[in-house]
Amino acid sequence: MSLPGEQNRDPSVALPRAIVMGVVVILAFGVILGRLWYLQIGQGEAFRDRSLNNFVQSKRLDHARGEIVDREGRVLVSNRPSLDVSVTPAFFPNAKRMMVRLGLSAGLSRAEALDKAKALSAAVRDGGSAFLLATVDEERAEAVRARQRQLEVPLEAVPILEAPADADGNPAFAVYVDPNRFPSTTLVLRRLRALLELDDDAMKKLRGRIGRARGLRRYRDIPVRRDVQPALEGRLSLLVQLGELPGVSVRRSNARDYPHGALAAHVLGYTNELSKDELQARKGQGYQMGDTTGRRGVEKTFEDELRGTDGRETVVVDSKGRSQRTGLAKQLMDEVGVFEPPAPGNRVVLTLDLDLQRAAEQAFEGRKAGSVVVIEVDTGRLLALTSTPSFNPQLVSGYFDPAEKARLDGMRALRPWRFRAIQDYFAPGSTFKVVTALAALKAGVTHVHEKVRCPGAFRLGKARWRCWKESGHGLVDAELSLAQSCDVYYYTLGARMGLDPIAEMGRNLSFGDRTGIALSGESRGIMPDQDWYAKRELYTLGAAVNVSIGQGAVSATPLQLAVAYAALGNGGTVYEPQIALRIETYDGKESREVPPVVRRRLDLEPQHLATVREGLRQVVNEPFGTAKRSRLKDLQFSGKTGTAQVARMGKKRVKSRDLEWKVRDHAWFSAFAPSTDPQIAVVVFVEHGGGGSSAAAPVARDVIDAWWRKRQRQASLPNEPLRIAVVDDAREPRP
Amino acid sequence: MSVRRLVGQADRPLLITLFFIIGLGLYNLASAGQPLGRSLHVSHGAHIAVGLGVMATVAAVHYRNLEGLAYPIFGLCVTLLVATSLFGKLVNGSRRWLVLGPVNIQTSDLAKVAVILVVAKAFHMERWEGGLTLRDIFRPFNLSRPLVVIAAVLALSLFGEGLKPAKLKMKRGRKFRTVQTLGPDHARIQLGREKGEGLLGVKRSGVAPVHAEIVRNGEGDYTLRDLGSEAGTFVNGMRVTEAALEDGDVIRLGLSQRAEIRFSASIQKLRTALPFLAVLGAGWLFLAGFLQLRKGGWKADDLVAPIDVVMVPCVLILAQPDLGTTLVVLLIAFSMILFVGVRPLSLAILAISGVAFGTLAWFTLLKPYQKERVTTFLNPEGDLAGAGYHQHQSLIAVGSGQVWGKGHGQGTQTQLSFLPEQQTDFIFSVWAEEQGFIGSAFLVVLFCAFILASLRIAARARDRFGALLAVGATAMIFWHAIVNMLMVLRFAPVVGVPLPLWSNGGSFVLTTMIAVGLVLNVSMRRNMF
Repeated sequence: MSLPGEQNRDPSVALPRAIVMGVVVILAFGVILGRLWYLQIGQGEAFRDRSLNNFVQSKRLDHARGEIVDREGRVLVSNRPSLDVSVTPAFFPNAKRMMVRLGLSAGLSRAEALDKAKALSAAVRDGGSAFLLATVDEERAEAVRARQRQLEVPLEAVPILEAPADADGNPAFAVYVDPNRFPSTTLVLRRLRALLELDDDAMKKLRGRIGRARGLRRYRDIPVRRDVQPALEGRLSLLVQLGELPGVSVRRSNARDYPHGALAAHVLGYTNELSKDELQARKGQGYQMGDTTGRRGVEKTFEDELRGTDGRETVVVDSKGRSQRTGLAKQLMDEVGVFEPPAPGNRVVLTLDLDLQRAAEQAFEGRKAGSVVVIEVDTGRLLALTSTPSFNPQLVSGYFDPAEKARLDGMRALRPWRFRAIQDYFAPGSTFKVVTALAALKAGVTHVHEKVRCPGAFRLGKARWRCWKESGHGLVDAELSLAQSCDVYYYTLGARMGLDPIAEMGRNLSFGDRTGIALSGESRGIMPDQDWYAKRELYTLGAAVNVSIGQGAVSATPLQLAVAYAALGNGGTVYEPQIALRIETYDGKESREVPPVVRRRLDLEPQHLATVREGLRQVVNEPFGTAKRSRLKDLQFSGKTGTAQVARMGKKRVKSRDLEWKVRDHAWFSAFAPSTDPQIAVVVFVEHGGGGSSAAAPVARDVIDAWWRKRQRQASLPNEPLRIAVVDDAREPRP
Repeated sequence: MSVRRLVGQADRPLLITLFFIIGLGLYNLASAGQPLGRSLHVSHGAHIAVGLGVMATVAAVHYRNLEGLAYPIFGLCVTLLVATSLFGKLVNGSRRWLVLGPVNIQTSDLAKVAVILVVAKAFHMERWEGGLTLRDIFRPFNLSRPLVVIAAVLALSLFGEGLKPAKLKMKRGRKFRTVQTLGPDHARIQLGREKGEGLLGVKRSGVAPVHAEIVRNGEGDYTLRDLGSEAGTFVNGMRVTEAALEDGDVIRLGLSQRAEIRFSASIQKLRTALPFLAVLGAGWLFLAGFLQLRKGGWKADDLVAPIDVVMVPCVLILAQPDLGTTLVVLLIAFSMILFVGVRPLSLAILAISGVAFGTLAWFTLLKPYQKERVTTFLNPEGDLAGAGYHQHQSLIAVGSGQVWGKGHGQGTQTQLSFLPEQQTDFIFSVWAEEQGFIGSAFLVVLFCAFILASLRIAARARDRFGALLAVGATAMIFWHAIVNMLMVLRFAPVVGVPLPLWSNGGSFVLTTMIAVGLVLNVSMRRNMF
């Protein structure tokens, strides 16, 4: 049977074509197999690493910065828990969405609901009052309540009141919306602002950062305020827990604690966050965004000791960066997780004695600006180091307290940030006369018994220099010249030997160069010699005359003077002044002593030294001494007053206290105690304080008195004297 | 003829590989569903169960009866496609889904089956020996060709912009979306910060409350005018106070990159081509009419051509727009026609003109952003955050599976949601990650065996219609599988083609099962009359 087109139905031609197609199919799947081979076997390792990078995130484990304690182990700086507030834009309430959904539940159309959402945002912005969403029947009211619970909108944000029944007598309800309670981003920010007392500037910045967060960055935290006042903690945590602040999180972290406030602030320094540029510069050292670093003082110079190292912990995250706690995540942790515990920073034990530091600051009270230095004569270790005015590191670290900022800005003229003990240098005035005396004796231009006549002034050519005592001192020898601070005696010696012998002695006693203390920003001061003057102006003998009484170009930091007087006290050894006594690990198991460093031993004739020391003793302890009013009953100490001229005096002598503060003389007092067998050297500098004997000496006396009394107390308790001191302080060192 | 005997005729290798593929697919979906918190294997299993029923039904009806039903089914599908472009659900700017009561149908899936049927019907009576020429396939001098050109010219000049309105598009997320349609109803659109009547809101920094306006002067002829804004208005980066807009121009309000608006008016290009098209249409019509007259006599075949049954659904699907599915439909039809046979010379001409057209299109027709898509595919590392991201993550998933895989439910890329679309387009990556090279090679071999088994059925079919039907169904499954795998392995761009029987999605599971049903149908009637 042959139907039309039957020959066209013959299927035999299909076979060869199917075979060709089959080959093409095999080739195509072969390509897939080859690609799989390349990806899974050839590049498998590389892709495995990349998949690890996808889900393994390294989390830092915070660690404590090292403590700073005084020589007796009393805490000067430690850490305390702090409260940080941040916001996560992704978790802010979406008022519009919630409002629309509530509106739909209340039976509004989508357009109406959108209108209500707009009305809500307008009311929130303008602080409007509650408005009606809809009047509904009982069933709808239930629906609204259910939706509200589902959306976690607080009950009081959507008050539902009974309304007059409808025509059929069915109960009706009026659903209101309270814009002051309905969760919205604006409301959250407003509450946050009120709580943290943020100013306009901070709010603008915060809004900007929130606005710029898009995509996955909306899940990242934006810090609002570090270290919130502890008083706010309760309210903040409560509000967060009640859900009144959706999108706001409060987290604990470590903040630096300075329990003694402004005490020794310049020595200790403070800490705050690294800036972007610094972060860039210190990348190699493992600093990261948000890390704090020491600023000024020990916090800065001992940064590497105090810092410690962060721990590391791996976290398994999903594609949105959320950490996972599923079985798979735990299993992956076992396979690829690492845990490195954090290492707290080392403890720096300072040479400072808290008692003495406190005594020094108390003794200085009432004076506007200046510094006190107390140093151990036989080691160069500093017992106290003050600089006034000061700042409170507690209020400066991390979040700069606005009140403290205002206070510090208010006294800008007094330069509160300046560490006067080491950074500022001033003419040392008469305290420098010991250098001139020793230089002249050494140079042989005089001997210990020579008497020079002081008629109240000194002439050299046409020039005339006044002695501070107009009537003159009469015949003056080395001892008396120190005791009464006769200027003419030194003018004479200066003119006899010229500048260079003075400069040499000065340099040997540490003037004109850094003492080497481990604090940053130390100044050199100036110890001019002939070359120095020749390079700048003309060197004349007049320069030597000026420098001989510590005026002219010579200037020194209080610390330099302290080092020099310590050398006088110990018989001629110049030590490097030290602030750190010992570095310990956080648990105290290992420690490293910082040994005293001798910089120079002066070759002084015992007779010369004895004469100078006797002169200094008389300054305080003889009725004719310039600091006789500052003597102590039960302890003899030696010292030298200094009154350094700031403004050139006119012909008429003016009493310093009648002058404007800025041009008043600087007051100095340099001392060591006790007079026989000296233990400590003390330098007091009062900026524009007036006379050394009236402004500076009493401070030194109080400090020495405090030191002596503590020493007496310890001597009467021969066994374990240090224990008492530790109990004295309420704070226990943190482990 | 007993049912038992009929079932006994069903092809064993095909069924065995089919059930292996289905079983492994369900097992794999169980893992892929975990991070989504959904039991996908259950719903997918339900779809498969329904699909098996449909498959049995399709296999039960003798395909000769289907041959008779081919054109009615085709007509129904075209109707559904037209309905979809008119009433379909708009998702991401395209209409692909028709909502019929509780079910959503992706009508282009059904069109694939219809095209297989109708191509088999149209081509099985062609001259197989020696192969077809291009003229046989396209019939360039059939009257319908010039008539379509003339109809297009008429429609364009009559309705103009109504057919293809000018649009303003802005970047929303990663894609450009239409934010404003222009036309006679919107003859004046102002651009500014606030939204309002006749005011398009562009809420970006630096944009003035009323920044600029676009005024319509005529068909596709629009002028952009700056309204004294402080930040300025830019066209293609040049500051302007007034400018005539051209298709593809980028308008920027102020300096913000994010305040860029793309002006699209393809009507402009079409309008310039209109006179040329009209002349072309007229000349063509004249020539076709002359040839027809000389031959004498009229048949229905002289009006249309077999290839039209492919072109009509393709145009409709392309208009949705759905480029991926259009390509697949073309590939299916192309495979079937190749099976019928094409002369080598014709194939060469086709290949050369394809390359020539592609080159021409690159330099003239394609807009910059379309070129960008192509370059993104060629150099995916350049755009990891954007379009390249999906394939990048997929490659990591596949590669990190290594030889043995990470184990079922243990794939980090899958379980921690790094893999995009892991239950649909990238389902193969899940398998490759968790089962390694061993597992994925096994699957590839399985698919290959399945395709070869069904080709074998085609080769042994009782008649040419059956063979062609089986080839079409095989081609559909093959092309989906191969394009999907190439895409997952970054040998092809992301086109949204699912992996048959594995990707979650009821509509395509049913389509695939119908296709398998067709192949089974052919296999069962091999020895029967």
